[in-house]
Amino acid sequence: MDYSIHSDPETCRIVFSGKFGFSDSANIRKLIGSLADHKGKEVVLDLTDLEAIDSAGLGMIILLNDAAQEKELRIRLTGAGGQVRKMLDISNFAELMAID
Amino acid sequence: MTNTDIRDAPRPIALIDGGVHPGILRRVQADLAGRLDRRTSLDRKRDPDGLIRIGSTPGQEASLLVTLYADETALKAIAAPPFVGLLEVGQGGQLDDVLPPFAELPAFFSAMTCRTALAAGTSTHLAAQLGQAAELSADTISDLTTCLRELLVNAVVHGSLGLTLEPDDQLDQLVSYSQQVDTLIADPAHGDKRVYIGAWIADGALHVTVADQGPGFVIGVDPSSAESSWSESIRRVSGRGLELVDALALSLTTDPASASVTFSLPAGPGLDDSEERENEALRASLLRSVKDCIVVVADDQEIPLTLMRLFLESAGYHNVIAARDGAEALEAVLENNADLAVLDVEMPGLSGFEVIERLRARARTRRLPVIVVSAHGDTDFRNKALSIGATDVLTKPIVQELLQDRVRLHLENRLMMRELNAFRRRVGEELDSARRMQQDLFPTAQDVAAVSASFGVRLWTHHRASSELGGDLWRVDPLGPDRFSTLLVDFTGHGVGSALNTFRLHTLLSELNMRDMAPSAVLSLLNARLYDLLTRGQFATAFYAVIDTKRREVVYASAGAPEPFVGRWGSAEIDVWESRGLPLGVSQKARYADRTLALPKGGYLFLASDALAESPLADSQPPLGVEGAAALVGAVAEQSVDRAKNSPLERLLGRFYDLAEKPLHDDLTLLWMEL
Repeated sequence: MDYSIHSDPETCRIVFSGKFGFSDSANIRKLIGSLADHKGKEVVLDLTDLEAIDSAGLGMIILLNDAAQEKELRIRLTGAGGQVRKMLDISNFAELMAID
Repeated sequence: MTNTDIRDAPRPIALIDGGVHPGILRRVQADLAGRLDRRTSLDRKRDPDGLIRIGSTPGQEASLLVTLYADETALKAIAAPPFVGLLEVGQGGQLDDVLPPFAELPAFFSAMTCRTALAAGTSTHLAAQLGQAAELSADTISDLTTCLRELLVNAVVHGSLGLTLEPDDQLDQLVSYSQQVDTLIADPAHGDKRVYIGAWIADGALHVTVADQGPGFVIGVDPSSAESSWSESIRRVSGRGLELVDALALSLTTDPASASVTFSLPAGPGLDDSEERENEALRASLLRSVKDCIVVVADDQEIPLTLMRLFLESAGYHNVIAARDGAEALEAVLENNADLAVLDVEMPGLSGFEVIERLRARARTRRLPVIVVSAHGDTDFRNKALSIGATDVLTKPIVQELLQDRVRLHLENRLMMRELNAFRRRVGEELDSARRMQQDLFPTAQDVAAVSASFGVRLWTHHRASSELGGDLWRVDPLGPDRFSTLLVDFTGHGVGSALNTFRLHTLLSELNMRDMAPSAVLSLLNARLYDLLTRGQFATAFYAVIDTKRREVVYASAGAPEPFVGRWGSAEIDVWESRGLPLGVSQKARYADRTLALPKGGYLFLASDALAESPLADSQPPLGVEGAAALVGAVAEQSVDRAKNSPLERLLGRFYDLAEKPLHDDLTLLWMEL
């Protein structure tokens, strides 16, 4: 998985691509660390280019969500399609965070 | 250990092990709740006869219920260590208000003058206190709780009372069990027994001993000498509790004669310190053994040869062998099983390079460190030497310190590799035994056959862990004459962490009575418990179903598990049923829905872990997905084959393994059921 961060004063947009899974935990720790610098209210996880996610990847999104909530940031998932959408759907993530 | 401190031994009323059949658990709970209700109103009040009675409340139906009784002598004794009191335990009792001396425990343990300490209390409470005193990490405290609970229950139920009920076969003994407990408790040989807990800190670990006054257990073999029969005899004696402790603890020793079990857990806040210490110890032992290594030095000229030998001997190497040409060097290395060779390149007969080539051609010396010595110091020569297989190159004239440094470096590396390989082998063996223990958590072929026979269903099942340890757990349990349940759980990831979670869940399950609960309620309960147990970011998907064979109806709830499939034999069509739900352990607020599906005559229900739909396929093809998985199942179901002789699951697996990239990256659990 790769990601890039696009930040403006209001929104921090994180664009993911590739496959999101077990091997990305170091990545995510770094990403969570960089949330600390964000001054706005919302974090958007753009999953448009994410090809696939597994349960470990879902776990990391939960960690991201927890970290965001601690900083009173709102997390929104956007652009999920295909397998990624199905995984979010079956795991009922809409109950935890906003999904477009 | 003596038992003279308490004269009037307190008497537990009824004690049951978490491993007993849920039906028995319920029965004893009801029985006990009734009695306690009459006598003490259950709210931890002092009884006129001087006993403190603490029992689980009747509302706590799901918890293991064992009562705690302590008398005043015991309470006083606690204040003056080494103390002896009594012990045992339900879950989650809050004892602060009745046992103030608990507050003194941390100081008590930190002083660590005690040899033997025994506290009255729940395993949870005791673990918290011990954890604070020994600065255990939160995970270790959770493991300690589990260990204490298992061992305390074992000690009381199997040790003191001598009950040997097994989880499997006791439905018909429901009534007699309760009577048996009453009889045993009334019998001074069983009822007036105590359980001792001793704890101390040593070598960076918390050591805990649990001993009972029972006759001792009957382990037939020495645990250190025969691994396979060890686990078997343990099971015969104490069920799975001891195996669980073995899995969680750093070490576990048993003393059958004194009926005691001692285990240890890592003390101190984190791993860093102990890792550091371990590394230091390793280095020290390496330095010692480096000097014992056998080093062959070879040169056809007397002076450099003698110099090299003297340089090494003056650095403490006492096994240096001198060789005067290549052939002698080769022979010296092979005959003495040398640990390192220093070779001059220009030698009559076999040159240094030729010796290296011969050494590299043999499996035994393929990785032997070889230092080449030559008057040539240019890069071309260096590269040539390294490409032939030299480990290092030194230039003449030999500098004492340089030779000593390089030899030590390469020998240390070699020993380190040896240690690492030994370590890897040991870990491999441990993983292997853990895997066997994990296999014990799954229903056996006999269990499955028994359910099939008593409910008139056909059940084909498959489980395979991806690496050596898996994160899947499944079970099938009879609930009544026409009803049975099945549970499939899949923890995030696999390997040791997930496997430990399956053990934790197994312990949880054995304490729960799920018989009359709706599937959604079962998942809610598991969710609440797992939310507390699991580290954030970890979770489990789960599918729990109650199958009613009379109504041909399946009521199920799902926590993000793959969709159940329903189809008919002879047809490729599949109904994919809804299975949306938050995975277990993610949110305390998760709610689950019950869904009901009807099984048509001539139809089947198919359940799978996500490895079926999500595993990558060979040749970098994308995974099957739900549609692909359904198509695969449908294709097998469509074939008209005698299912009694030719398992549809085997056929499905054959097709799936043909498609999938091997080895599978995730655990695969499959269950195919026909009513």
